[in-house]
Amino acid sequence: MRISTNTIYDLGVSRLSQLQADQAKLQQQISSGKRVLVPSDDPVAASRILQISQSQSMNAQYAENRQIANTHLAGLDTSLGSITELLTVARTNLVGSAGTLTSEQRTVLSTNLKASLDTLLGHANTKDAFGNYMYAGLHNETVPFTKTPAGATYNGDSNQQLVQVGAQRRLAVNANGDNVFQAGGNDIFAAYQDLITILDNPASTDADVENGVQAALTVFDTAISNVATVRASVGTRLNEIEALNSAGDSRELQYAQALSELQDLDYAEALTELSQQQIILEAAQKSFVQTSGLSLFNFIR
Amino acid sequence: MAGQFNNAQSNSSATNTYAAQLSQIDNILADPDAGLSPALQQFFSSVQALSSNPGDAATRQSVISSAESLANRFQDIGSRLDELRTGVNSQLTTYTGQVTAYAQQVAQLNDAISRSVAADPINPPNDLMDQRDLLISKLNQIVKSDIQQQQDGSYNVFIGNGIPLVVGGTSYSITTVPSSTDPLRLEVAYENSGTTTTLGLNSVVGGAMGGLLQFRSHSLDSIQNQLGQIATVFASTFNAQHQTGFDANGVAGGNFFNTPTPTILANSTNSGGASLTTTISNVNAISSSDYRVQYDGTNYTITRLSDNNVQSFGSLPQTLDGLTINGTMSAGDEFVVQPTRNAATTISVAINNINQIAAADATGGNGNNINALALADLQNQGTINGTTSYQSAFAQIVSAVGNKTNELNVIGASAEALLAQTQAAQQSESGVNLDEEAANLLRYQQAYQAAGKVMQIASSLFDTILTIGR
Repeated sequence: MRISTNTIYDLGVSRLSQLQADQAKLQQQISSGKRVLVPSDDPVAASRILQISQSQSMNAQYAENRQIANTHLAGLDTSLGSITELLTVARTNLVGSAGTLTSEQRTVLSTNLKASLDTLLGHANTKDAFGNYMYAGLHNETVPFTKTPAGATYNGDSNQQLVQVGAQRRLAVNANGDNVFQAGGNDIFAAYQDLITILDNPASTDADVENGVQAALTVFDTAISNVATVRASVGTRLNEIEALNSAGDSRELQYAQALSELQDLDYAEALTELSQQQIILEAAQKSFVQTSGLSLFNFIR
Repeated sequence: MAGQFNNAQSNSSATNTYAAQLSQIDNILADPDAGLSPALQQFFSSVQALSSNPGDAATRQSVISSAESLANRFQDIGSRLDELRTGVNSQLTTYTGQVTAYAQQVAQLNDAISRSVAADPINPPNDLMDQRDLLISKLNQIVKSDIQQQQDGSYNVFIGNGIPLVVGGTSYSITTVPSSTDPLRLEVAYENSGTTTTLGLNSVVGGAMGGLLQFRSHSLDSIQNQLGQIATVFASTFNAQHQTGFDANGVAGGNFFNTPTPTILANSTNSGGASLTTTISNVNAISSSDYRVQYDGTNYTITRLSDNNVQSFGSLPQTLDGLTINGTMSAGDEFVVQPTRNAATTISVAINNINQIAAADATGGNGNNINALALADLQNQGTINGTTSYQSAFAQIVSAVGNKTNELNVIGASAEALLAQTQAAQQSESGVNLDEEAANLLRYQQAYQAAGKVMQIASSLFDTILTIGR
C-alpha cells in the first residue's frame, strides 16, 4: 500500500498529540494527587466517593453532636455533684439536730436551712454552658423553679432533649427538674420549707420539731438517693459517648482509607508512568523528525 | 472509497461532538466547589447542629445560610445546563446555515460539471470534482449525507431518510425553528417552497449536528430532569416535615424552600381556550420524565416520554406518577409537561428570619429540637422514587454521566481510528507520496538522459557516416 506523505504527517501529528494529551492528564493527576479527576475517569469510583464522603461528613457531624452532648452531660454531672454535696451537708446538720432544741438552736437551724434552700434553688435554676436553664426540660428559656411559701413550683416540662449522637442513637442530654427535685412526690423544697415553718413557729412544741426533723430526714434520704440515681444515669450516658467516640474515630479512619483507595493517586506508579511516557514521547518526536526528514529529494542535488 | 470516508467522517464527528458536550457536564459535576454534594452535606450538617442546639441564634442562622448556598448550588448547576442548551441552539443555527451554503455550492458545481461533461465526455473536469468532494466531506462533518452520482456527472445529496438536499443544480435549505411545544428549543427544519418541516432525531443523523441532537435528547434533557427531580423532592419533603413543626414563636412551620412547580408548555397550534394545570400530589412518586398530554375529542392520551408509555383516559383530572393533571382541552390540543426540568434553577429559600425555623414540636420551648431531629433524618431517607436518598440520587447522575462520557470517549477513539484508516486508504489511492514522486522524477530524468544519450550517439553516428563520404 502506498503511504501518502500527508498520511505520514497526519499520523505523526495525531500520535504525538495523543501522547501529549496522555501526559497532560498524568501531570494533572500528579499535581492534584487525585486519580479520579472527573467522573468519567472512573464512574463507579466517582459515585462511591460521593456516598462515602456523605457518610464521612455525617460521622463528623455526629462527633460534633457528641461533643455538645458531652458538654451538656458533664455540666449536669458537676451540678448534680454539688447538689448531692449540699444535701449531704444539710442532712448531717439535721442528724446533728436530733433531740430537743433550744429556741436559739431552732433559730440557727432555721437560718442554716434557709441559706441551704436558697443555694439549692440556685443550683436548680442553674444555666448550662449554652446559656439555657439546665433543669427546665425543652422549655429551657424559662426559670424552672420559683419559690413559693410551700417550697417551690416547677415551671419546666418533663420532655427529654435528645441529641443524635450516632447514626442509630439519640441520647437524652438533660435531666428534668421535677424528676431531680420532686420525684414521685418526694419534694425536697417542700421538705425544707415545712421544717423551716415549724422551726420559725414559736408555738411549735419540742415534739413538733423532733417529728419535723425526722420527716425532713426521710425526704432528704430519698432525695439524695434519687439525685445519685440521676447522676448515675448521666454517668452511663457519658460512658456511652466515650464508646461512641472511639467507634466514630475508627469509622472515620475506615472512611478516610476507603476514600484514599478510591481517589488518591499511587505516586510511585504515576511517576514511573510519567517517565515512561516521557521516553516514549521523546522517541516519537525524534523518530518523527528523522523519518519525516528522510526524502529522496535530499539526494537529488 | 469516498463513501466510506464520508461515513467514517460523520460518525467520528458525531461522537466527538457528543463527547465534547457531555464532558462539560462531567467537569461541572466533578468540580468540588460547584458540585451539589458538598453543599448538600453542609446543609444537613447545619440541620444536625440545629438539633443539638436548637435555641442558639448562630446555629439557626447557619441553617438559613447553608440552605441558601445549597439553593444557589442547585441554581448554578441548573443554569450551566441551561447554558449548554442555549449553546446547542446557537450551534444548530450555525450548522444549518453551513449545510445550506454547502448545498448551494454543490449545486453550482453540479451545474458546471454536468455542462463540462456534456461538452467533453472524455476529459472530466477533475478540479471541479475535487472541490465538490471536499465540500461533501465538510458536509459530512456536520451531518451524514448520502450521495448518488448521476449519468451527467452531477451528485444528488440526501440527508436522513432520503430527504433531498441537492438534486442536480437545485439545492434546498435547512434552518432552525422553535419546537412547536417548546419555544426555547430549536429544532432542525427542512425548507421547501415556503413551508418548513421539522426534522426529527432520526432524520438528522451523524455529524456534529447529529451529535448535538443526540446529546440534547439523550443526555442533557434527562440530566436536567434528574437534577430537577432531586431539587423538587428535596424541597417538598423538607417543607412537609418543616410544616409539622413549630417555630421559635410557637407558630406552625411554613415552607422552608420555595418549591419548584412543573413547567407546562402549550403547543403553538392549540385552540384558544386550551389550558392545563398540574400539581405534584405525591412527590415521592414523581419520575424525572416529561409527559405529553393530547386530546382527540374523546380520549385524553398521556405519554410518558422517557419510555413512551401511553395511557388513555376519558376525562381529566387524572393522577399518574405522583402528578395530578387537570385542564380544558379541545380536540387536537397538545401540552408537554416538564415536572422537573426547571426545578434546579427555580428552587430558593422561603424564610429569612431565624425564628421561622420550625425546630420544635407543638409543645414548644427554646430547647425543643424534636422537629429538627426529624428534619436531619431526611438526609438518609429514601425520598426519591420512594427508595433513594438525595445524595444517592445525585451520585447516580454522576455515575451515569461518567459512564456515558467514558463510553463516548472509547467509541470516539475507535471512530477516529476508523477515520484514520479510511483516510489512509483514500490517501493511498488519491494521495501523493513524495518519495514515490521523486523516484518517478529520477526515473523520468534518467529516461530523458538516456534518450538524450541516444540522440547524442545517433548524432555522432550520423557525423561519422557523413565523414565516411568525404
